[in-house]
Amino acid sequence: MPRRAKLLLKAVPPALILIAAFVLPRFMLQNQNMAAMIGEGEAGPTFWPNVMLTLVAICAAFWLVREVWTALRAPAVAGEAPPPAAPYNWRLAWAGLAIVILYGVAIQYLGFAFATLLFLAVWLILGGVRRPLTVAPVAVIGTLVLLYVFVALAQMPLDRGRGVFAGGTIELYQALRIY
Amino acid sequence: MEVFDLIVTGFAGALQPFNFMVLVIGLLVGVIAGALPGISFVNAMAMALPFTYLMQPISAMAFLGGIYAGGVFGGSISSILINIPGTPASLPSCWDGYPLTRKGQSRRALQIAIVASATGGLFSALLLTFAAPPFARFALRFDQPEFFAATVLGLLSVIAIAKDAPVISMLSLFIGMLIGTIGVDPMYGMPRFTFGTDAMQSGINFTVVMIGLFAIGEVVDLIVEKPDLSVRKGPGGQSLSGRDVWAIKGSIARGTGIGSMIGMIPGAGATVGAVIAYGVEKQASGRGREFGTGVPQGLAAPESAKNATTGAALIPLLTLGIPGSAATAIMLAAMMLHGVNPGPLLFTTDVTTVYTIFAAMILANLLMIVAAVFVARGFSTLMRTPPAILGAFIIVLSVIGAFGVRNNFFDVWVCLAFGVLGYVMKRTGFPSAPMVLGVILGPLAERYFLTSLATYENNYLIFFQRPISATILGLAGLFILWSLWPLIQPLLSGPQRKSRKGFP
Repeated sequence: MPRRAKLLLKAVPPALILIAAFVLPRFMLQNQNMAAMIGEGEAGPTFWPNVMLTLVAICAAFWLVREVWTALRAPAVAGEAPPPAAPYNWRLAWAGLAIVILYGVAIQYLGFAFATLLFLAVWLILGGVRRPLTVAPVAVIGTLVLLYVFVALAQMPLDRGRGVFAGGTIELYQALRIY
Repeated sequence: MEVFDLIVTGFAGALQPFNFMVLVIGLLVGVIAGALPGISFVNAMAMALPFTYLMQPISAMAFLGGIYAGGVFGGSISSILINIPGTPASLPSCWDGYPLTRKGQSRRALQIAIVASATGGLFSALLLTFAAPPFARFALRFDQPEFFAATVLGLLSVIAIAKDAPVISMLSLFIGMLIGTIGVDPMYGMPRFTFGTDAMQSGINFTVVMIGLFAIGEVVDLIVEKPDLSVRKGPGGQSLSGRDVWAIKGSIARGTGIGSMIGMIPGAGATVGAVIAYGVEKQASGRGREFGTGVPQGLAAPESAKNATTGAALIPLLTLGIPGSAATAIMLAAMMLHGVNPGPLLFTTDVTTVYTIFAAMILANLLMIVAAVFVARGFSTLMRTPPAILGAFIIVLSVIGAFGVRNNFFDVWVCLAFGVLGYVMKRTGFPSAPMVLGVILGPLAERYFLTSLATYENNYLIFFQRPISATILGLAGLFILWSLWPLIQPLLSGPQRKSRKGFP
């Protein structure tokens, strides 16, 4: 891809924010008639968000103009490339983010106890801790400590999961004497 | 002489074995609760309130005062060690505290935070003891427009924080303030930006946004980069020396002054104080360009400011009966439960109780050094844990913390969504701190703005017509000019400077 086109790609985020600032007012109130109920001269519920959207639009426009200006003034051919930085493992990073999201999904289906046990084990393996004698105790003891602290001590109503997992969580809590 | 006698009587009351014991327990509970993201010290105070029913009023206030003083400091432990603010007021402690940890100087960073927090807290407790009535009369002149102006000052300090990208930092701040408008509006009760979902009506909680933006991106980087966060041997990893403390004395003094002033304003609180102190210190320290890389002054100033708000916030509470924050509102509830009615009469009818509370606050800030060292040592031992194990537990605690804010799983999804956003922002260099500040202070600013208009017949000029509010807004304007001066100066003297630098 030509260098100038690459630089123009940097203008995409401010452009998207600018578009959002113009589109979002349509979704501000569920019922647009609500705003009509506000008395004359009163700021109303839309005043503050509208001010914020305007300020967002102004800043995004500045940013967009600067990026486009930089791209257009840049020479078409790049100068001497900077020395390559240390490689960053993007694949590992995105896998990590995916596992965090899946952990959120798993809590609702498997319950906090089983989802956490599974998450701890998977995360340790992903992070390079591969010895089963480390992974298993950290995952099991870690989950038990978290259950004692947050279910038994802090009395937090953490998700127990659905179906067979809900029953399993209750049996686990009974075995741990925290239910 | 009379005041001296009252202070001695106050200390005698605070040092009674039971009162002293509950004070120490309160401190430890506060430091630990503050250090756990999502389990804030305000929650700990609320949970501790029923335990005070069985106590004498003085013991109850010592217990809650201990949690308050310890909790305001505790939030900085997780800020410094894992870049996750335990409390909103600890947000600025991430900016120079965590870089020190990444340099292997976590112990030194914690010691700077402890010294600065204890100094700020102690000064404000002394201010509370000796100067409460005149300062309370000053605080009484504050109304909604002044609260709005103080919040605006806090919000504008983001320009000082912005390094070389003021426009992008402002954009981040306004997006944060826009996120803060989601949910039912504070004046008319109309839902905004809810997209037809019930869960959005209660709004986006700032703690959840803070945990998501800071914790998840940081943890993902922990497994990718595998940094060594343990305390390093050698000059960088050594403990704080007397010379080091002397070098940050100005930062502590400025932070303490700002925190004490801001703390007295009901509604402004520790977050505004800490952020303004960071912004001022960036300009005043002479090391502004290095801020964000692990500068001790950048950590000391907000630390002293946020603890300096603790004693100062009790001034309007005790002298006028006005709680300026959630924490002081809980203390007010405890006082009312025990039949102690704060206000001007309290200083004549129950003066012994008042001075015992003063003494308890002084002791709390002195003992905080011991409690903080004890708890911080335990937390810093965690830094020896391999990054993958540390990161796994940070994620689980973040999820629990997000859920625990309102016992609502919607908050977990919000936290995870902001986690992904935070990671993208981190990797692209888009600043996340102004966004968090916007989510925290934006709703406050809107509420004070609307209530000001409602109180003063929709007069939009009221903010400039009242002397104190106009002065604060004027200071905010000067603060912007001061912060942007390094950028403005070359433009004003552009051609001459360029030619001096060798341009034709």
